[in-house]
Amino acid sequence: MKTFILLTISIFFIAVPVLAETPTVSSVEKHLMCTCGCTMPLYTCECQKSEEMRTEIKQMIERGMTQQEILDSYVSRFGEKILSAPTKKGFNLVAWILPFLSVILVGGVLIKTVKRWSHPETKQESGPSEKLDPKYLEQLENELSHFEEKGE
Amino acid sequence: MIEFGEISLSLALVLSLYAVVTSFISLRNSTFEFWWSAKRAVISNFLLLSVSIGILAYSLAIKNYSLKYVAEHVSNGLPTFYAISALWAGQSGSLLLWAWLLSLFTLVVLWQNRNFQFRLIPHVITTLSAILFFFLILLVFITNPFERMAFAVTEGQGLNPLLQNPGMMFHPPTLYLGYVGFSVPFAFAIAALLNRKLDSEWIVLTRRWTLFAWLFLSIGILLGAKWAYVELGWGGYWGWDPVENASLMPWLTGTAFLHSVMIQERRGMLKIWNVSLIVITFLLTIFGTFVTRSGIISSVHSFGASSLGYVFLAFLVLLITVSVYLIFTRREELRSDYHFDSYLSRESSFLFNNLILVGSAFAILWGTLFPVISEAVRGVKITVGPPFFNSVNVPIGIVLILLTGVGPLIAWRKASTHNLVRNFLYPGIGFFLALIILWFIGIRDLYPLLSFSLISFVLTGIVMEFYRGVRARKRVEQNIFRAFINLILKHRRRYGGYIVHIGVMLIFIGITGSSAFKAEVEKTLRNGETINLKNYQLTFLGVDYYKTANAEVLNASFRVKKDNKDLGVITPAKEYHPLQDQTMTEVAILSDYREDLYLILGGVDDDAVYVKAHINPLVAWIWWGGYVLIIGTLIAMWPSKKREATQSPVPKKTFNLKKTATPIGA
Repeated sequence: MKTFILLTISIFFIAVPVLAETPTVSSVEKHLMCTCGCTMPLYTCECQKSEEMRTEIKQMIERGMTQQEILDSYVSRFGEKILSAPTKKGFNLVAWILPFLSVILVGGVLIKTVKRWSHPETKQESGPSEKLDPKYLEQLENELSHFEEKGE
Repeated sequence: MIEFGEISLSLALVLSLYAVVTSFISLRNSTFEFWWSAKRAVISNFLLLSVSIGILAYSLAIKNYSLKYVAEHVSNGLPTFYAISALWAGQSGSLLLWAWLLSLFTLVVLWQNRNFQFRLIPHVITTLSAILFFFLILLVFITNPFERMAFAVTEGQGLNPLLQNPGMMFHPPTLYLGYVGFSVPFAFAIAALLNRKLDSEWIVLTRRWTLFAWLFLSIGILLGAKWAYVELGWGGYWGWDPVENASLMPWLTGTAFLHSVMIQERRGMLKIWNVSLIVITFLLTIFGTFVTRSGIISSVHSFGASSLGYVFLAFLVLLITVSVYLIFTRREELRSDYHFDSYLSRESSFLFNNLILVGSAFAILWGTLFPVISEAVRGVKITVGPPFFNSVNVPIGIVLILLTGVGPLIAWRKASTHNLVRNFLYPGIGFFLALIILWFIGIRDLYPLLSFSLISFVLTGIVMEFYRGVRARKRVEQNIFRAFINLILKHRRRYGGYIVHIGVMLIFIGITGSSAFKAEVEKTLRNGETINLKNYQLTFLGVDYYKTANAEVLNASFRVKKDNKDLGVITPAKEYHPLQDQTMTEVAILSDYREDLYLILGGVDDDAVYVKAHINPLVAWIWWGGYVLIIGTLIAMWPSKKREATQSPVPKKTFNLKKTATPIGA
């Protein structure tokens, strides 16, 4: 169940940016790479090839194609590498989910560990300060918080 | 003369290996002669590499085309300062700069520890010299900057026009200062592991080195962003290119390290994590170099595919093996002295800040490597570009802003309810006030709403910290301004850190504003026609054509009005560089604190021009944030004589000269 919740949260994060319903050259070119070999996204490239691609996209929009249809047309000709980001399906989902999942899982482990360490039972072993008389411990806490207010 | 450069390089190669061996033996055998000799080898290495780099720089300045490197990177019409900057424009020149900086830093470490009160130093020199040895192998055997031309030429191929920009002149050297700077704390960590001396000594000794490296890496990244913004002409400052990512990853892990070492210094915790973090940071600097040189991952910054990549890969594997072995075999000594008292403590908040920073670095590394992984698993080439990195890093970045605010407000060990209420009340008000104001002015998107509100939370918290500090100092100082200045000067590390946080928040304001609220329009215009973008009107006035020493330039002039107020004429341009057969876009930018008007000349056709105009809100805040970050870091790293005299980080008794190495210390 926990894993399911974490996965749902991860997918929520990655699903926030959605494709625009009415395509424009700008909205489409953000999802494509330039084919001139410059390795740059289309919207950042100024070469002749990029101009030709923009003209083609403009014509496709004028023909009434949706953004997804335009992207599919490029993928069919150039392969997946023409897309500026991995698709959100199949093995590519690993690319999208793993960063969030690893942060969430490691975060969960950290919370549990810190909780365990700060538990009174384990405090017995955690350092000499715990062996202090409660009166001195209270004084130490006060001084530390005072020190905290005053300096580094 | 060129022969001297080449011979110096070969001699430095031999001497760096000699320094590795002698410095290592000197501590093992407690032999003075070996240590004395190792020190001389380090000094000689710096002198030899200074000769080499000096000769290459001079050859570039006088355009000595008998050298292949010179012929490939400069041309007759190139101004001398750009010709010298070609030192870091190519593969072998930039590696020579790296090696020279490393030899300089090794010398500085030696000088800083000339009284030799710390047992770690010989092994620090061993590690730094070993890294230098690796770079010199590359320079002598694989990519020699002194390689001659097979035939005589009278004109060079010239410097890439994109690199002919003042920002670009300083961007690579500042990045290298950062990359090479991280070698020093890494070397201290390895020395601490070798010596099994894993208390906080190595951290205290390298605090300024870490800040120095972090500062220059920050400046390098910001200069790169500024250069991309001004020179590349696509309207943005960060393209998530693999090489940009390679500079951001060590910055993120270095930032995590700067925070987590405080926990070890104060509480003797996270020793294994700190050693691992600096090892990871250094490995990422080498990984960045590997990305640039290998051609394995596609990037606009690549020097092209070469065998150098595999040598770097082998070096990376060696570094990982040695580091993992040392950490694993010392795991008992790396156990924490204490444990966390509560998850409501500054230690825990730093721990989670580390998680987010390292998580972000991992996300970037994962995205950078995923095309290679995808090809290996599915046999399908894919691209991982800006949409991926933005989607993944924006939520992580927002959590990071939150933790930046929480960290300084929460008490060490265990926050009491009183501490939480007292410290979080005003920042909390700051957060909700910003949220309400932003909502009422019409901002509804989740990310900018959260980002700006959390920035308000962080900044309110910092202002309150300054207020409380000044109020406390007012008991001994009459003048409020003096109280403010003395507060910073007497607690440089703490308040310098707060100023850095302010700088980072200003950068986040710029990033959020320019990403969330940008507007753009593209249009073909004839003489006298106007385009409107928000409250700007741009009227096309005409085109000028002229030649410079290196290029043919087409200027398009536009009169700009904002709310009908005349702001003058701006001239975006297209430059054609015949020598490189390359066309460049020179954008025109009108900037103020609210927004940048960014005009790109797309193309010229008879009397018509195709232009793209962008409104990039709050971009200037990124550069101002950079200045504040620099000031804050300088304050935090500035040495305090009084403090150092009274609070020497490690008592000199720690290393007993007589017992271990009687004659050492010359």
